[in-house]
Amino acid sequence: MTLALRLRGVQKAYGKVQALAGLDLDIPRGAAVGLVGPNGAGKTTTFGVIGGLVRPDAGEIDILGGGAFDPGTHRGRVLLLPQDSELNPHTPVRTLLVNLARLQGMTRGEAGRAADGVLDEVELRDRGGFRVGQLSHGMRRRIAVAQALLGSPELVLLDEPTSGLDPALVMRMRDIVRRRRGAITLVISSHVLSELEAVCDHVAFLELGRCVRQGQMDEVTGRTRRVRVVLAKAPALVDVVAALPGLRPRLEGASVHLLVPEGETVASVNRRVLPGLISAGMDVLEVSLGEGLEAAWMEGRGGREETSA
Amino acid sequence: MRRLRDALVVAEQDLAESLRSRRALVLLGLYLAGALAACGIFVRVLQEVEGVVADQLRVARTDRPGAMTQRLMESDELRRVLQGLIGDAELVQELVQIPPMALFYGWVALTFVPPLVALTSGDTISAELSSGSARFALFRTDRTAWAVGKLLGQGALLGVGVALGALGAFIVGWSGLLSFEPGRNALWLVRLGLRAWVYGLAWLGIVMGAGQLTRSVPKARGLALGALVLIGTASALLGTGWMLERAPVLAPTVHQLLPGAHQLNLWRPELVRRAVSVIALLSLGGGAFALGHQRLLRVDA
Repeated sequence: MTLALRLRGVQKAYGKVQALAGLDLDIPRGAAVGLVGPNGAGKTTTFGVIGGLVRPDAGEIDILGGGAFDPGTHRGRVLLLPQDSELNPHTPVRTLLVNLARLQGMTRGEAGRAADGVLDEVELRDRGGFRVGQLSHGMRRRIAVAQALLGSPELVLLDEPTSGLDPALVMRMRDIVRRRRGAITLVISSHVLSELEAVCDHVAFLELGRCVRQGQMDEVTGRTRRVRVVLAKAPALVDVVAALPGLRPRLEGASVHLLVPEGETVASVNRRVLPGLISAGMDVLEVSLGEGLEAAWMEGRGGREETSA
Repeated sequence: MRRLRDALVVAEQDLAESLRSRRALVLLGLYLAGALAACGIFVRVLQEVEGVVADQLRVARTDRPGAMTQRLMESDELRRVLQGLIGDAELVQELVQIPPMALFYGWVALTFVPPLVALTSGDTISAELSSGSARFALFRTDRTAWAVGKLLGQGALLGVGVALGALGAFIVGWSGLLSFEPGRNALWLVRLGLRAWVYGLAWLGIVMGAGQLTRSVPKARGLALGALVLIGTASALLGTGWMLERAPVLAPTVHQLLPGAHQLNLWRPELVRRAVSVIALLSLGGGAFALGHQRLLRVDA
């Protein structure tokens, strides 16, 4: 597996607050990675360290095989949507994007074409002549995302790209990210885990400045090995066990949780589960894979809290 | 080469940005209004003085002042008085050659450029750091290219301000002074404007160097004004006879490290001495900027 990003033992403290406490992180090339963690977990500092905005105290960083961030090596190849950063309000939108593209090494003509391209992508071409300060919050956010897509970046870091946006804009942003998925390496942080689940194929959980878990989204959410069946009413466990021989169901109210046994697939389990439950007189309302990113995250937190207790 | 190109791109953006922002426009307006007002007052004072002299000599007052002053500037008496005051024949010779309006503009520009620079440019870098807008540039270019670009942009803005001031002086002189020679005045206004610009660049380096020590806009403004007051006071003190008596080597040496020590040389006719002062001023500004930049290189953006 070729890595786009490799962090080893990265540390960063702000006074007495340890924002990163030996962070290890591997981001495969071409992956769309969701960075998940509570406030203060170190997500923004991680983005800052990768983008060269924050000076780490210790650790190793390798970006696209070229070592730690260096504008000479990485400019235009690594782009970032920084959190809580305001675009200059006096500058016209297109001029701003052209200027930033020129700083990536493009000529004025190339920069103009790149700016028009990303303005099309965020559907704000008609606002190109407006000053940034004249735009709504949502539009400014889209422009901020657009600048992170200028040119041909290989690694794009988006820190809370949908924060403060209404649902329609969130969907539009999701589409923008989806269009780029696979072509570039994306690292996205968000508190909206369903959004990350919909867009990302990898996930990394950060807590207290460390990566506590990372892997493929399907693996982490259990999509490849967990089946959840929602019944019309809560059954007795003995009835479910009797209806599903060879499986070891776990009951949570009206939800039946099943682990796919070794050597079987989700499809083969489903072939047995549905007829078994229906023939036992249970009404099936929903069958879903895995437990969702939110549940995986909470489960992990619960486990860690128990361990630490 | 890449750094230079980036710095020029940032400078171009910074100048355009400054001209777009209302604050810079107000301050450029102040350069122009200040020059118009000061030169207007100068013309009124000349008119009064010439009027009093005309009354004493019992000759008719003129509608517009200037003729008598021009003649005074060319007189040997004034030359002797000035030589007694300044003690430098070559410098006096140069000063009396300068048309009165251009001479006044040169004095005003050299006096007021430092505080204007502190007001317009002291917080340029900290403002971008505190709003976070710098972050959009700082993963595209390195901090030195970005900061130098900001310095060049503000230097260009200062040039626009000084040019506007010279334009104001020209307009007032042309409309208010008798025997105003447009060509000669324009030439001297350009010459003195350039010298005021160079002098301003030294202060620009100092205030922008101080401005890099913090990301807080009020603190950056305070540091810029503090540096202005401190250096201005130190310069005045170090140039006094009292200090020269007590520290005959140290005082003049330290004085050379302050822009004020090189101001008078900008008026001198000898190209070499002027050039040395220009180099000294640019080095002082560049050195102060580089010192402050060391902090920007170390902090988180």
